[in-house]
Amino acid sequence: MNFRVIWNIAIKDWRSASRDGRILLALLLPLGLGLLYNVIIPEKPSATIVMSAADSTRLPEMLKASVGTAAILNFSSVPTASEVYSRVNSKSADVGLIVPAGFDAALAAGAQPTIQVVQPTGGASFGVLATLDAALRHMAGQQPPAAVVVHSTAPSGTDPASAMTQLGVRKYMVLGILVMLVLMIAVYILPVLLTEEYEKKTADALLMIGSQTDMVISKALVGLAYVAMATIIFVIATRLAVPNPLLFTAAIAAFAITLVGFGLLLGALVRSVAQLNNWSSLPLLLLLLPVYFSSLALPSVVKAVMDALPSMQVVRLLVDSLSAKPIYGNWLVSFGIMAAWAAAGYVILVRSLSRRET
Amino acid sequence: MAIAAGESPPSAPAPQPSAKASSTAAAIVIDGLTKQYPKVRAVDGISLTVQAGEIFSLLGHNGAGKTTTIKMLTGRARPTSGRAQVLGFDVATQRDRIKPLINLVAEEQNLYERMSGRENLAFFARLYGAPDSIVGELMETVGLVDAAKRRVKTYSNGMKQRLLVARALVNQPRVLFLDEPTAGLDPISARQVRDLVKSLSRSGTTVFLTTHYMEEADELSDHVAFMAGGRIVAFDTPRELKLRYGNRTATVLLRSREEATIKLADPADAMRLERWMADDDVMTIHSNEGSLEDVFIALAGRPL
Repeated sequence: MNFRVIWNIAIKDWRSASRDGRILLALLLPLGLGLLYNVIIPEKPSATIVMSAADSTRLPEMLKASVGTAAILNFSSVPTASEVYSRVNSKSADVGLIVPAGFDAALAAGAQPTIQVVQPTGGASFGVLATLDAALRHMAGQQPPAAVVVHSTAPSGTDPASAMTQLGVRKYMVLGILVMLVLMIAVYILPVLLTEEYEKKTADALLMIGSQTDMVISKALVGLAYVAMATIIFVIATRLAVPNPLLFTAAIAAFAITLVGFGLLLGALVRSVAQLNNWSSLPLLLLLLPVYFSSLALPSVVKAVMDALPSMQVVRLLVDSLSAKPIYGNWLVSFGIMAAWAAAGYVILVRSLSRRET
Repeated sequence: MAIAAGESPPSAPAPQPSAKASSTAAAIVIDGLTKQYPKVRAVDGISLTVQAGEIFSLLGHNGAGKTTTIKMLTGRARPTSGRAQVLGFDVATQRDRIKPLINLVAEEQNLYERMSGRENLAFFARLYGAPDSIVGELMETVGLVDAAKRRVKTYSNGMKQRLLVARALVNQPRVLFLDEPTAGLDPISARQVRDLVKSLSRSGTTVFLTTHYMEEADELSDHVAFMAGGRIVAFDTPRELKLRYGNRTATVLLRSREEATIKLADPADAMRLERWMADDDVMTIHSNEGSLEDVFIALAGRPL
């Protein structure tokens, strides 16, 4: 093994990313998707409420207090009732409230003023109607007929649907994109780097001073460096809160090491980048599908196969690292399954390369 | 240079080592080297010796086994049987000792096209642990200083080939392998590459060359070997081969403006020439020394 050769090939490949549109795209696509999901999927459900009130009212703050942290309510005021209808019809507001003059005083005096709620036909009121009664009782100085205490329990299942419920849709989707990012680096970018060396015969020149092992180790280092850099940028860009950074880092590292072996094996097996473009999507999809689709009603055999995949195991570890309280547990089993895949991948890779002649 | 007795075809006379060969150390020694692929025996028990500092050319058709021989000598393919030593080190077991001492200009223009010419050289200089200063020197040697910062994909074939030669010199190799170094080049670029090879040889580098171009081999080589079907069918100095296998004829222009071709080994033709000379009928005589192409056709039955 020649460390000078390994280091210099790795530096060369690291720099080549800035000149290779395919590599840049493969890195930027998941980053962009992560940012997009981060923006379009809200962390909590929210509703825009348009309100027309003849005078000041405490209703908005009472409604907010009743909803608590379950949702975000955004209020806006308009001068007339017709404008409330107009806003709801144009879908620039989810719900409209028309509050008569002297509403708060009437409530406090025990009268029964009329409040009008405007919502689109068949539209959801985002919990506003459910909490309106409690807010109005409070404003009228009435005690609720009974004290309701709600205990939230964690979903008992350990399937992705339960994890998604507990983690939140946005966080889970962003996590899925992070897995995709590692897959793109390991199963597309790295094989491209290796295959191109063989296809364009630059490997012949490298092997005049280095060995197949030197070349593969340098590519693996580049792959791991890409994963580290891309993950850091991804976490910062998506503002992903990571309660257990140690588990998060270990999970990404184990997943990257496992897939880098398979990516390089793929790169060593195909003869051209064109072939790679055709075939790399297959392992990419196979590894990515369980992340999103294992919650479907699938036969137990299919689920067992999905559970045996490294991508499923890294999702379990990442979900646990991103949750305040672990959902899956059994981390050693997850790491063990990934280690088994890594061992198999690297053994096949080494055997394949030892037989290879340029 | 010498060849094992069993390797020459039965009709070929035993080769004679040249004075240069016998007075210098061997850079490459090949003994019964064989490469068997699943369906074809690419190299079939060849044996030869290349002396240090000489230019040796291996000639043959596509598929004759030339490139496979170079691959085995440069450690990129394992011999199935036989042995080969480069600079005293075994190619199968001491590849790491050989690598810093040799280099290769491959048949393909295998450069990093997204990098500039200078970056290509600098990268390989770093791989070999060579000083940065060699990059500028080599760019100057091959006449690419003005194009040093341009991406290689903008280079012409000739420029790429000169860059390949420069790249192969970053470690100042003692043995340089050149696999078809002038293939596809225009005459001027080919001339530049040939001049580089000559100057390398003058500086003591051993050059192991494969080429399709007989004139090139004739011009450059101290020794040549012809390869066919994985075997070496002839080797010697170009001059000896031409004398041995070429047509020993002469074209005589007579005062009557008539041209006659005579065979020098034919006693009847010798008598005709003697008569013309006596009668003062001869205007000019041109000897028709055979070319390497003729030698190859005589040995392989078809031209390169």
